Amino acid sequence: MANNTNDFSRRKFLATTVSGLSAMALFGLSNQTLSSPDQERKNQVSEKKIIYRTLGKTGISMPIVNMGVMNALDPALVKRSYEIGVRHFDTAAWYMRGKNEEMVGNVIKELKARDKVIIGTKIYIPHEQRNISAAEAKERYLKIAHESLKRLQTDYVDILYSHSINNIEWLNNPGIVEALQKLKKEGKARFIGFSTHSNMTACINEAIRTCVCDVILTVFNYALGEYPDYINALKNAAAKGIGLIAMKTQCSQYWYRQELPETMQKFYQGKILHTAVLKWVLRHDFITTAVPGYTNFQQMEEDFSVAYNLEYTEQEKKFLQDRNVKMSLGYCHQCQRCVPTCPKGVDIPTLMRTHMYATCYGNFYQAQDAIESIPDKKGLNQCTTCGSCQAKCSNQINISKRIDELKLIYA
Amino acid sequence: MKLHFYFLFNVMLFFTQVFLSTAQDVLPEMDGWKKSEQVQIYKPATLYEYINGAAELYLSYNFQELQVGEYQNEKNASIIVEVYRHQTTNDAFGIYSQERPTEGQFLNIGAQGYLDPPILNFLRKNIYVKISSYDIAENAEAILKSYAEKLAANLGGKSSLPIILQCFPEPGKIQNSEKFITRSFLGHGFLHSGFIADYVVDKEKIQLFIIEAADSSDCREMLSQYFQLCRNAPSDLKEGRFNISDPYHGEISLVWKGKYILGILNLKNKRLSTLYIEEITRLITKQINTKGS
Repeated sequence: MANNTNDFSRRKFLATTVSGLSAMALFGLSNQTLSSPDQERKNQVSEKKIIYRTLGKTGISMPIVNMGVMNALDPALVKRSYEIGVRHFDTAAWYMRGKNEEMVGNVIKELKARDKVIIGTKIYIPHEQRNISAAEAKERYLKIAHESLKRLQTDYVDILYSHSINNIEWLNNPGIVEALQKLKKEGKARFIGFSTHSNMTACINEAIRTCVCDVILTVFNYALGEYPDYINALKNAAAKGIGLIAMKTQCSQYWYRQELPETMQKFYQGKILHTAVLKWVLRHDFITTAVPGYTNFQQMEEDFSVAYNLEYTEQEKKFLQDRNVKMSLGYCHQCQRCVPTCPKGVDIPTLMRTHMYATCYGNFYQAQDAIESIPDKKGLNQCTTCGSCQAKCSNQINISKRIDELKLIYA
Repeated sequence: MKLHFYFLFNVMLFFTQVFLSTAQDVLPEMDGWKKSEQVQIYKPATLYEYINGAAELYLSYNFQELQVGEYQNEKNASIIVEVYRHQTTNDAFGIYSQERPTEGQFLNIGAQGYLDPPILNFLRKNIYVKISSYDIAENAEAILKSYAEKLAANLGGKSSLPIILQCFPEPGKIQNSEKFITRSFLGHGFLHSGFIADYVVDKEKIQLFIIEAADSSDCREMLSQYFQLCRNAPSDLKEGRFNISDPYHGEISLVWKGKYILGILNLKNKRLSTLYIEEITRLITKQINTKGS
């Protein structure tokens, strides 16, 4: 009965909010998009026309859906992508020891399309090897960049990224900045920037401050929709003319799905997730394009269908409104229903928030703030890990696993 | 600011060290080199912290665990060794084959290895080892080889590449071009995994492939979907030889035999196509008879 009441309350809550402010967040609609007919028209382009956007101040115009080549193992997939209208191919020196770049280079050469495509590649030094001098970093960056050009069979790349930036020190490493600027000056990279998978907000804010980057390739997806600081950083970057390209757009990576029971894995199957969530990303018009890492022709067709029309179908709207879908995409909605299920009265929702800040977004300041906000006798130490955790999440989050991980972090 | 980075560093270390205590240390000692006290361990949920987005491909090849160790000598040269454990020999070969060159200095270490200074990579059963050296001034190749041999011995010594590779006919084959694709073979979601090798025949680049399905009915299901895509489904699908017009790959000659689908891509010469199809079918049949499957 109590559950029914809660369900009703939640439904009521959703009913009132989904029609209002929450709907904007849910569907990627800002106040501006709701109130601006121009913006709506922009999103309602003719079904037969691929939607193009301009990548910040670079002036590069490209389709809103492109290709992350990383997981593609068949050159025919790259070739077919070009044929259906994909114009930006995102690769990296690190992928398959350069074989991924080789494949892109071979296909573009075969198509004789170098001047028609935008090639982006990345230079990576593994995190645990980053305790090198600026001079060595510069030397390694220049060497890797030249090897990439050779593999790509081109004199220049359109976008050259510093790969996987997760802290400001590495972003601002003078050796790396010098190397990228040198390559740009020499015409070997038309534009430079970085890719980021964690601590994105801080890195993007720093990029806005330093004005070195032309383009940022960043994680952006439905699971990040509730992070206003991050979204503001993206908006600010776009306003400053930094081109923004979204990756990991469909939350389909293992780490989004790892905790889900079989019953919820179903949301990751079929077309609907890919189109709905990709549209959600691209309806944020500060994002110029997305580079989904499709691995077969069917996925390619599904993903690229989004490039023609960003309007949600009724089915996609329903899918995105499905509470189970939202939870399956991996975040705690702070419903508080788990609290009474813990015999120790631990503030589980705040701990889940802490876990998310720390592990998903690398925002350790915010993680610290969150954990410190928990009152005495409700915190992490209160949890005795009672053999098998009795706390239950109605949305299938594995509470005990996340708490165990937090205990290791804060041990 | 320093405190922040200290905190950040420690938290980042968390996931890498969670599994340290249970790791079996297979990394050998080396004279003149100091081995790091701790071996970092990464699991499927944390691999992306080490290799970022590249983790997705490793995960698709059923990655199980990565151990990372580091060695340093007095001259500050270093060696980093990564030991990737996958679920099966095919999985490990699959990811290894995606990264290996077709030409280079191949080595008889484990099942196969190659030296491409400053790195040496090798494969042994379901283990893929990647060794990278930094700033070794002298004898780098010898040091890498010696280390790799010791490590391979710790992992169990010699092994062989997946036996199914022997079913690719030798004439025209580009050595070391064989790959194992773990999903969406030929870019089709309905085809599972498969082996593919590059050939130069009649001055043309062609490819031969072998799909090993779970059983005959699995083959039937895959082929049904394939014919459906290509809109030329035979009325009665049974084992035998077919020609298929793949919308993305063009004409493909296929043979369905038991739980195997064999095929040739891009070979226009019908006589040669028949010869290759017959030969690969013969080799598969021989292997089936040997294995008794």
